[in-house]
Amino acid sequence: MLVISQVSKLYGDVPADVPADTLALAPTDLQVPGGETLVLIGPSGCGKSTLLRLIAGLIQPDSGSITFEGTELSPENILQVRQRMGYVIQEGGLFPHLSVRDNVTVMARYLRRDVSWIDSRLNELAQLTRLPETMMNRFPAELSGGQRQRVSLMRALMLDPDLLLLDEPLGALDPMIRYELQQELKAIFAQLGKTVVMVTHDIAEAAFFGHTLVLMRDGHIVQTGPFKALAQTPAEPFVEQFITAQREPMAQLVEALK
Amino acid sequence: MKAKQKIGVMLLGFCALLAITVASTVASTVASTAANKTTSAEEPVSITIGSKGFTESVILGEMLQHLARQTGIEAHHQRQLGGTRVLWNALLSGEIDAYPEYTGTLLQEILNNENLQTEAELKQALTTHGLRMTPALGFNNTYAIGMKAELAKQLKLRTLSDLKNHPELVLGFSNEFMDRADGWPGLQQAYQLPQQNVRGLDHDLAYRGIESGTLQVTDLYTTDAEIAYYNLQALEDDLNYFPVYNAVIVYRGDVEQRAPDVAAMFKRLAGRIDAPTMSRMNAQVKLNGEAESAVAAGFLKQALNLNVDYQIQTAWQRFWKHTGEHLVLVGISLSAAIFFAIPLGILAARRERLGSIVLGVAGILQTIPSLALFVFMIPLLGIGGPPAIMALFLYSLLPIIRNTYAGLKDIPPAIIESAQALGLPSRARLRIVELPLATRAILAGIKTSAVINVGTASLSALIGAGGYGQPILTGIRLDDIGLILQGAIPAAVLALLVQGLFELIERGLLPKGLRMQTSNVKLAS
Repeated sequence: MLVISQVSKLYGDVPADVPADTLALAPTDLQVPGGETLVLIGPSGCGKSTLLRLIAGLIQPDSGSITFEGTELSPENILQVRQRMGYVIQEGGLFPHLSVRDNVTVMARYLRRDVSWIDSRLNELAQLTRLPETMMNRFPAELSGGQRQRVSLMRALMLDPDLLLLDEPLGALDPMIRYELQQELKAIFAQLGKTVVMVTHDIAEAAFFGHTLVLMRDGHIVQTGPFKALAQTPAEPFVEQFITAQREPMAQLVEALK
Repeated sequence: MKAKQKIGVMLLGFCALLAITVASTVASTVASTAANKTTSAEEPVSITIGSKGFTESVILGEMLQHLARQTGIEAHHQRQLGGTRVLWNALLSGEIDAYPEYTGTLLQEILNNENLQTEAELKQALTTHGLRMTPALGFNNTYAIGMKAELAKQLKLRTLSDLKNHPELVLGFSNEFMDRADGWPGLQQAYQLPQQNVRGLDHDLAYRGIESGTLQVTDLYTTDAEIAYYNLQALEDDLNYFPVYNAVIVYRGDVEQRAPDVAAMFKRLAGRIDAPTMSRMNAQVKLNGEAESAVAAGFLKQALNLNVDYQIQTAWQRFWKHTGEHLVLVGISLSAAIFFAIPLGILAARRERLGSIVLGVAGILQTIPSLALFVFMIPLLGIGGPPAIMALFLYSLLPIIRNTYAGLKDIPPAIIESAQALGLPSRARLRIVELPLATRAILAGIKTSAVINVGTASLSALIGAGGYGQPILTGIRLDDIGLILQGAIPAAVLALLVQGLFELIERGLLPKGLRMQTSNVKLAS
């Protein structure tokens, strides 16, 4: 269970009389039950990545608290808590000077985990993400975009975290690879039963993955709920606009061909 | 795994090398300062002679060294230590015990505030500084203003007052003369000279300028061998502007206690060197290419009937000596710079405000002209190796700090963030992720520093630290291109070797994953 309570963030120096709409994130409440996938969605600059980075402890909130499995995040315990979180970003964020094997196992080796445990965990993850054994000694520069994201996922899963944080994990991939990885990722999430928070701006991807969607705009949550609820009972005209803006063009093209 | 072990071993070796060199620097500095302080009665007595950067002074310096050795003690000669001030301060601080000087310089330049008139007053004034002076050696090497005899005839110039009528003449004076109270500023005022085109240059180069016609008028030392050689005419000092510059030996008062025989020996030179003799000795060195040491020994044999044993080093011996000195200067200063600059660069990248201060200070150090930086170190660390190493160390900091800073700052934020999100603590992130990614930039910085360092180290000879600058200085003084090349070529070769060495190190240290992509980390240089 991840509980976000009254969390806000403003970038840069904070003058006393800030109008609320210049906040990167207005005071926000959110709960993610264990084992569920929550998708943060919205246009660029809506605050979805800010919220994810706050959860990962990469930036500190100006107010409010984030509690993960009963522990409130603080600068003192963030290093411990992060070991129970896996984080994947758009371009993978792999370390270019380390091989696939070293990228995936870097934290486990830092924690001096047993070597045979590391090896067996590595094999397990390679099978799970369907990364060929021969890739293990390659460097990130020698991998395709899809392979890099598989490695990035392996690295995030290495210490068997309770929570996965994914920031546009498939955003930089071409459509075919992206489709293939979407299918695989969803299967992996289902298989592992992890709590997942994912950021995307693609409504189809959000609908595909999310038990719950959180649509955001200008640092505020506009609507929270399953895709069905957003589509059928939009809280504001903006919700409908956002959904149709992404669905309509394709639908029109298909319609025109009939 | 193997590749990584190799890198680890190389890193370890590199660190060990650093530790050793830094430790040895500290040890040698401590040892040398200790040696400076404890020249007490039990220690074997040793005398250090200094000389200025022109031939006459070097010959007299060699002579003093021979004389001191005659008494059975150890003596060193720090040749061509630069200008008057450097020697005077070194004498006051005890880094040298004696050097040849001229009464006019002492009266007009060094002690000009004390308003002394006679040599007796001068002697008294020196005593209050804890110094002594021998009676005059027998020649007056005053300044004169001279030009080609033909040109003087053609322009009908005979006296300094005549110069007033020729504002078009190009004047070139030795650097010291340009600045000295008794030099050009006073001369110009005394004679109301109108010339605007006046430049400062090395005294020995001025003769070449005169010969080539780029200069028409220069300052002469009246015992210079070149006056006859280049057929120059000294213009008559019709207003008696220039004082008398009687050559004397100034030495520390404590020499009379520590080595009374040496002080007595110095005094034996009194009245023994007349102007033609000095002029002839200058000519032997400058025009005939004889060694200063041999010329000085020849004089002592002839005038005082002393048989002096001396060794003249072969070109190879000198080469190895200078190479050793140069390598020590570069090795210690560069190692220390690497040792301090990388942590400073890391600090700068981690703390923005502190970083801008660190980079600013290192940047200011870099803007100080290198020659000035060397001279600034003299009051703090004296002459010789330590001040030269300190100056080179300060000079080598900036490129390494800046490249370490830039190398760390240029790592894509996504990579830093990934390392943070894994839960790696700050120090582990630095070691595992950030420093390896900044390797290329840091090595480029070290390489830049090393090449600058090798070149700048040539200036160390000016403050008595030797190295390849020594033959260059001597070569300039003797107008000997061959000698200049003996310093310049090895210095250039060494710079290339150092560059090659760091390219090899880069090949070994650069992580394999980084060699594949052209450049993940931008190079800042």
